[in-house]
Amino acid sequence: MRRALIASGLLLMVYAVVGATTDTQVSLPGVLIFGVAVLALHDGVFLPLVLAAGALIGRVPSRWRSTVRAVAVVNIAVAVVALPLLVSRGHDGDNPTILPRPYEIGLLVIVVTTTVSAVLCRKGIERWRNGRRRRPRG
Amino acid sequence: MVRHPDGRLKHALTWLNAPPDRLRRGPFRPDAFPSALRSTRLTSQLGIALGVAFLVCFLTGLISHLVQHPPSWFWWPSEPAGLYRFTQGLHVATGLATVPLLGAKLWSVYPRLFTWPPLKHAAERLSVAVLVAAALFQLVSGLLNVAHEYRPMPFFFTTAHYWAGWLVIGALLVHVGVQLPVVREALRSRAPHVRLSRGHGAPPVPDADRRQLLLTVGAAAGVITVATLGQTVRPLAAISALAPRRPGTGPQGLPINRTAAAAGVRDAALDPGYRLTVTGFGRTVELSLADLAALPQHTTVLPIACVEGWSAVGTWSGVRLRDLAGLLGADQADLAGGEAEVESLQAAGRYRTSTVAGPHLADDRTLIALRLGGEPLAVDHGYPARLIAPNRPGVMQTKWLTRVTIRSLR
Repeated sequence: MRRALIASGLLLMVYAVVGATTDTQVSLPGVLIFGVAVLALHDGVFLPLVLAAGALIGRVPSRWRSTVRAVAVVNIAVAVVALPLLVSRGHDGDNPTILPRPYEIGLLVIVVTTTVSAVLCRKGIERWRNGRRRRPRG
Repeated sequence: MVRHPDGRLKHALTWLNAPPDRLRRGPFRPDAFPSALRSTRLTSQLGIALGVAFLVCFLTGLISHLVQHPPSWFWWPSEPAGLYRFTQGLHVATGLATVPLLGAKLWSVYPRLFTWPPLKHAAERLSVAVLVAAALFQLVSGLLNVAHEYRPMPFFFTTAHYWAGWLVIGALLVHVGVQLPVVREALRSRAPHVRLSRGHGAPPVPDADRRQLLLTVGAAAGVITVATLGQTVRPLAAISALAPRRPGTGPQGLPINRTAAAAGVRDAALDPGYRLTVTGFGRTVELSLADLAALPQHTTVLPIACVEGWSAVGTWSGVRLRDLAGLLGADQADLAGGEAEVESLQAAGRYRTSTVAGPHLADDRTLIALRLGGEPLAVDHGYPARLIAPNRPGVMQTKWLTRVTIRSLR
C-alpha cells in the first residue's frame, strides 16, 4: 500500500515536471521564482509573525485565551484572503464589474462581527455553565 | 597544502551530519516551539481535511481543463445546464476555504523544519518542501487570479496552475505513503498523543483543546466561504462582503470579464456593415443583423459560468446554432459527429475561437444570441451576436461572432 502510494505519487510528479517543461505556454523561470518566493515568505516571514502573535495570546488570562485565539485565527485567515482584493488594480479600467465592492469596509465588518460574536458566545457559554452549577442535581 | 585529503573530507561529512551542539540556537533549540496545542493527532486530522480539499480541487480543476481542451476520448454533456457552474464554483470555494486549513497544518509542523541535525532525512525533507511549495503555489496563485491581481505572477496563470495541480497531487500521494504509519498511530483512539516538538514524557494534549482548535479552523473556513460564495450563489450575494464579483452588477445585470474596448472590437462590432459569415457543406451565407433577427428566434435561460468561480444567469434569445446549419442545406443526420467552429471579431487572443461539438451542437438551447433580458445584447456582452450554450465555461461562450464554420467529420 505504502509503496503503491509513493510510486504513483512519484509518477504524477514526473508527469507534472515533464508537462510543465514541454508546455510552451509555461514560463518555467517565472513559476520557479514564484514558488520559491512564496515558500520563503511563508516560512520566513508569515509564520514567525504568527508565532509571535501566538506568544502574545499565551499571555492572555486562561479564561479568555481560547476566545482570543479563535478571533485571531479567523481574522488572520480572512485578512489573508482579503489582502489581494484590497491591493488589486483589477477594478481600474473600463470594467466596473471586476471587484465591485468596498472591500476595506467588508473586511472591517467581518472582523468586528466575528469578534463581537466570539465575545458574546464566550459570555453565553459561561452563563450557561454557571447556570448548570447552580441548578440542583437529580 | 592538503596533507590528508581523505581525512579532511571525512571530517567535513561528519561535521555536516552531526554539527556541534553549540550551533543549536534559535529555532533549532529543542524547546523553541512551546505551544501546547501541537500533536501528531492534530496534524493528522488537519492532513485528512487537506487531502479531501485538494482532491476536490484537483478533480474539479481537471474537469475544467478537459472541457476547455478536450482530448478525443473526453465527453462532456450539455445537461444539466448548470453542471460546469457547480464544479467550477466548488473549485474556487474549496480553494478559498483551504487557506485556513493549510495555514493551521503548516503551523503545526513548522518545528520539523528545524529538526536537528539540519541534514538529517534530507531526501524526505526536500520532498516535503516540494509539497509545501506546490500547495502554497496553488492557493496563492488561485487567490491572486480571482482577485485579478496578476502583478506578482510572472507567468501565464492558467497553464502553470494546471501543471502545479498534478505536482501537488503527486507530492501528496508520496507524503501520505511515507506518513501512513505515523497517521495510523496518531488516530488510534486510545494512543497517547505524542507531541511533535517535545520528546516523550510530555503530557498528551487534552482532547478538548485540540477539538477547539479544529473547530476554530473550521469556523475560519466557514466565514471565508460565506464571505465569498455570493459570487456564484445569488441569494448570498448580499452578505458576501469579500466576493470578487457580484451577480446582478454590470450591463443587463450580468458581470463581464472582457469589455469590447479591451478586446479591440468596439468599432467592428458597432459597424452597420456587420455580417455573420456561415460556411460549411460547400456553401457560404452572409447574414446581416436584420437577417439573423428574421430567422426563427428561441429563448433560453442559461448561466454564464466563469473559470474564476463566479456565475450569473441570463435570459438569452437568438437563432439556434443547428438552424444555421439548416441554412447550409444540412440536416440533423449531417450534424451528427460534426462540429461548429465559431470565431470572434477579436483579432488575437487565446479565446477568439471555440468549438461546439457533440451534445452541445445538437442541443436546442445552443444559440447564436442576439438579445439578453429582452434587449439587444450590450456591446460588452458580445453585440451583435455571441454564442451561448448550456454547461460551458464562460471563455468558450465566444462574443462578437464574425464567422461560423460547420463541418461534418464523416
